[in-house]
Amino acid sequence: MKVRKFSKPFKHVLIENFLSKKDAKILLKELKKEKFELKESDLFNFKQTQELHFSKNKAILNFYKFFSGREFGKHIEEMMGIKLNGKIDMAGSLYERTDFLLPHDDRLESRKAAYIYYLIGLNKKDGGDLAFFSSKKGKPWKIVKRFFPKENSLILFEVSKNSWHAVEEVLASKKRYSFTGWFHR
Amino acid sequence: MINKIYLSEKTISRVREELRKKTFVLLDDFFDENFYFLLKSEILRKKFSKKKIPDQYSFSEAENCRKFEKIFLSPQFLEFLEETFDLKIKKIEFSMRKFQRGDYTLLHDSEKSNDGKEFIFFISDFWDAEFGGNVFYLGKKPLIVQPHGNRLFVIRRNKSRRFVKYLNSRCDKKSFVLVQGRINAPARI
Repeated sequence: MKVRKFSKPFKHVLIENFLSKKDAKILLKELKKEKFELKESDLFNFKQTQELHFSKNKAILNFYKFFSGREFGKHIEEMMGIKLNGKIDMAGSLYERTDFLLPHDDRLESRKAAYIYYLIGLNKKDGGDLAFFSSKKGKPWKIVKRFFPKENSLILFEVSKNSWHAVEEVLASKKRYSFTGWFHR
Repeated sequence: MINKIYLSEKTISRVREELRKKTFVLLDDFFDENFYFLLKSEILRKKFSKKKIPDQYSFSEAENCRKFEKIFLSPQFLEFLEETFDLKIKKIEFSMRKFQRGDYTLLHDSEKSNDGKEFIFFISDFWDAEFGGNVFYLGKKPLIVQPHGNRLFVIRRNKSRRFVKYLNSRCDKKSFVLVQGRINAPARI
């Protein structure tokens, strides 16, 4: 596991090789069995599962328990220097060709940190990058950092008035599977 | 200028009735073919400059669109709208925006839902539903208008909010120009 912390354009942490290769592969296989529904609005186009807390799949539920557990929560608090209340949201997300999520800041109710755990790796030219914006007076300005999805890597970032980000359009005919959600305070 | 089929009294009264009942009307091949062809080739020569506020919109605007304003403020077009909406037009607020790959408009928290009458007109290459770019009116009954060259769409909005869906990579180098007119009218005739 390789952990890197960054402070610009807003606080975020990148963890590569988050789980063992074997566990990551099992999770991908099991997540594909979940039902994905199309989510569509002015802001986005992608597919998503129900809240995985309600999943009947044992492997998915075990992952949910680990991710929402006190021990892992403590690690997140230490890594990011934030306080959490133990409540999390988790869903599976699927972006296929032409799917996207336009710039937004994620601020809603008690969300404190957002996360994306990638189960699929994409190449630079495949699109689907997570893009971070610099901001001016709390408004998004320019893209200053991009992460192209890397298999078995976890990205966490603090939700704030500056946490403007987007998922760029997927250009390749590939399926970008991930777990996404928020830690609350 | 306007396609003859839309100028007969019979058609106009049918359009007016449909607009009254359904609150919107879609009219394809609105201008006659030659006129639309000239309009399109003039638009292609125009210089557009990019306007982008990432959390609100991304499109291009023509630097000078007076010539095109004249078409949509011409006596023939105004008379058509007045008869269709059954009102006297005081003023039209006019805009002309070009949408291409990666462009969009977003519903914005500060934007109020809109009442009132308006038209949109498309100057477009061949447009496929898969390209994105549909114009959504979200209200009691959501409406989706697909871009299509020489298409006029007129609507009486009732507290609806409008956005243009993200134009994805499938549209490649294709684009469309969206002419929009918001109609101010003092009272019914």
